[in-house]
Amino acid sequence: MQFHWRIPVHGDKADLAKPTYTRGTWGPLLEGNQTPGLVDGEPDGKPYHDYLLEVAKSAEIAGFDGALIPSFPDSEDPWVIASSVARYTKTLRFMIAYQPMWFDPLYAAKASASLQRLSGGRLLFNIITGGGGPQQLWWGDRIAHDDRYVRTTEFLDVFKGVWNGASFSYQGKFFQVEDARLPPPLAGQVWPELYFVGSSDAALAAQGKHADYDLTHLEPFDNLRKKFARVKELASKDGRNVKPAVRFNILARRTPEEAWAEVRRAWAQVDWDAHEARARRRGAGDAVGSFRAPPKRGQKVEDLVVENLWAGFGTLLSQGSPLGFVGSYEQAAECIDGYIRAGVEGFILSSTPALEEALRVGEEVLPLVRGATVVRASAE
Amino acid sequence: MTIEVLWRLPPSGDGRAIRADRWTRGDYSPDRKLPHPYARTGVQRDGYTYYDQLSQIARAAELTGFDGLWIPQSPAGEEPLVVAGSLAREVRRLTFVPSLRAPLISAVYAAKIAVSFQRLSGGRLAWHLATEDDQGTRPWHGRRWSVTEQIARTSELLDLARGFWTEPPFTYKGRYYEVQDGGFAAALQGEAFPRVYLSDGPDDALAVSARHADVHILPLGSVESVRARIAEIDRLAAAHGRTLRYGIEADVVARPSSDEAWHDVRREWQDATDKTVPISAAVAPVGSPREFDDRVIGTHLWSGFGRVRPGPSVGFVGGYVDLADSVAAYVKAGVSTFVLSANPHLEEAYRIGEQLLPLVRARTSEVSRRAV
Repeated sequence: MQFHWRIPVHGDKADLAKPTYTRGTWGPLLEGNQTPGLVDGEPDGKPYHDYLLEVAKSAEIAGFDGALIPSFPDSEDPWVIASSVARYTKTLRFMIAYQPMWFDPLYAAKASASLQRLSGGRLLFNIITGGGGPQQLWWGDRIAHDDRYVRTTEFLDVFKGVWNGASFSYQGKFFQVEDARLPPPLAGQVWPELYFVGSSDAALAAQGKHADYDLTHLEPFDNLRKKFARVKELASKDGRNVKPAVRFNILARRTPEEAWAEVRRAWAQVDWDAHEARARRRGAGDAVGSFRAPPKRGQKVEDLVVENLWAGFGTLLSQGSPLGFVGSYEQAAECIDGYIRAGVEGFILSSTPALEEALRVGEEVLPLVRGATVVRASAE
Repeated sequence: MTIEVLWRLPPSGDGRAIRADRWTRGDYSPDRKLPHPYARTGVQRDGYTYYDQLSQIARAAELTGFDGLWIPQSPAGEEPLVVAGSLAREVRRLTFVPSLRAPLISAVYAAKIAVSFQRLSGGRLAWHLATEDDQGTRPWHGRRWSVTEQIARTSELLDLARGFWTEPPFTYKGRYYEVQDGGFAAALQGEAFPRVYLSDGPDDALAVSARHADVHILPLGSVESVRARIAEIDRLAAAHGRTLRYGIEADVVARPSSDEAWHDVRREWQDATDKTVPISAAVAPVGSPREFDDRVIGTHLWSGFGRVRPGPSVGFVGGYVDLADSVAAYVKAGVSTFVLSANPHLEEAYRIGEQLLPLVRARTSEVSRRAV
């Protein structure tokens, strides 16, 4: 069982109820902001990166296994964060969100091997293949959806092939190498586990070959179970075992009443004009599996309840999944246990503000999760 | 003009000897089957890795007054971007100059990483875009990009990255890179584009420097040869309305007197007998005293460094005062960036920083004042 905490790479808030980001440069610079903050009315020049290091250290101290470092056009970059997090923490693993076309596979292998040597083997990846459309062209990538997954598969074929130092040659549609290999002493580092994102058939086929974990946002329970079954089926065709993993926002308090009161307080502060502008800006992509349409002005907190989950996190500017958990610490632990019983072996949790909530979830919720200490009896 | 002096971070090991297979810092020597007892390997035996050694070298350079850190590529060495990222919060003043190679990285992603680094470091990132001349018989990356293609890719990467950074929304379609409506969100804007260091090369490389280089690195030769090369490239840059700075990259064996310096480097050379591991199959075994003398190409220049370890062939050898005079002569000829190295890089950062740099800065401020 792995529990990871999400690093808020494009801003955070001191309080869920703030209408804009107050940590980082993604909202207006106001009194009380930090990284940067204001001193005598002038920006104090403190980099947001320093806050992210503190979030990472808090997650480590609170008992998380690792931290996800996402990657978006408007976010900080994971490689830079990972390199300094590795020096700032001792045991925390760090998961870099990565699209294959950003580096040549040999360069990616070399940089990854360096990170393993720097950190004592703490690197993992979240392999993302992109949503297509204007955002993909922003990255300089014109390749269409199914071909992007072919490229992902080929990228990982080469990355894996050269990792342990043996001579590797490959003739693919996107990559051709001859006698490539990581030289000693870079070769043979701890293998970075691969989380994989994608719900389409092309994605699941690519995953079966290389993924260690299939990562999905929360959906109604039946949808999740069907997806887990499909992932298992496709992976077993290659003789592999891909473990399900889920990611969600979690707002947990001592009692359910306190948790829902927090949500209501934040909901009352939503800037609906800004929310609608964001929804318009998002634009079309060709990814399959984005969850539901953004909530509408005038909807109440109760309107967004789905089974034991709540769909309004995106509206509150909580990053990551819009669908997440609200309730007491015990209820949160039961929710997590429910996913564990359904086969989930990896969790990426998030909440706002990221630093304080890492400590809260790590100290109050994780110790109550029974499944975390259960040794899984079933073999691969 | 103020000069800048950068100190090299050794990417694949270090030690007192010239011979890499005798190095005790890091586990990179190709001949060594087991790590040296003192090599920090990243195995969690004692909690230290080679990055701790690099961190010490970086801090030494900061304490003793260097201006930046030069982080070269090496096939078996630590990746420069990872090294730079790992040290960015541990030194607060130095510029980082990691080496990048255009074929290995997406242009947009290079810009994306750079903007994060600029935010984190307060604008202290520079780029050294390098071209691999001798890919040897078995390049580790399994491809053979010609020098021409590498230079073409470098040129496109810089065109795209600069446009993306400074003229959003930016659309570009080159042979190797493209982007549509690119540019940073408001939250990431306001950072300086990394300064660009480019190395000397054939005519197409000079053309890229003329358009893009902030600093053009020249091979170290006689003062006259350097002056001539600078004049040539100045003409090319002027056609684009640009002025470049010029740099040289060199090892420096500096001692209290020139006699001691030559004695020490000759002894290291004798130590590096015909059992020295050749850098590539093309290089014959080294070792004769006569060859040592053949490689003395100036009063304080020796060209044997490249025979015993990867990196520039020509370096400075001399006493502190003599070398300060040498450096001042290059400054007068138009060089304003010096990328220096010596092994072991930790102790030598202290020596060069404390003993040589003050003499250099005193002479070159004189040079600048006279030139005004």
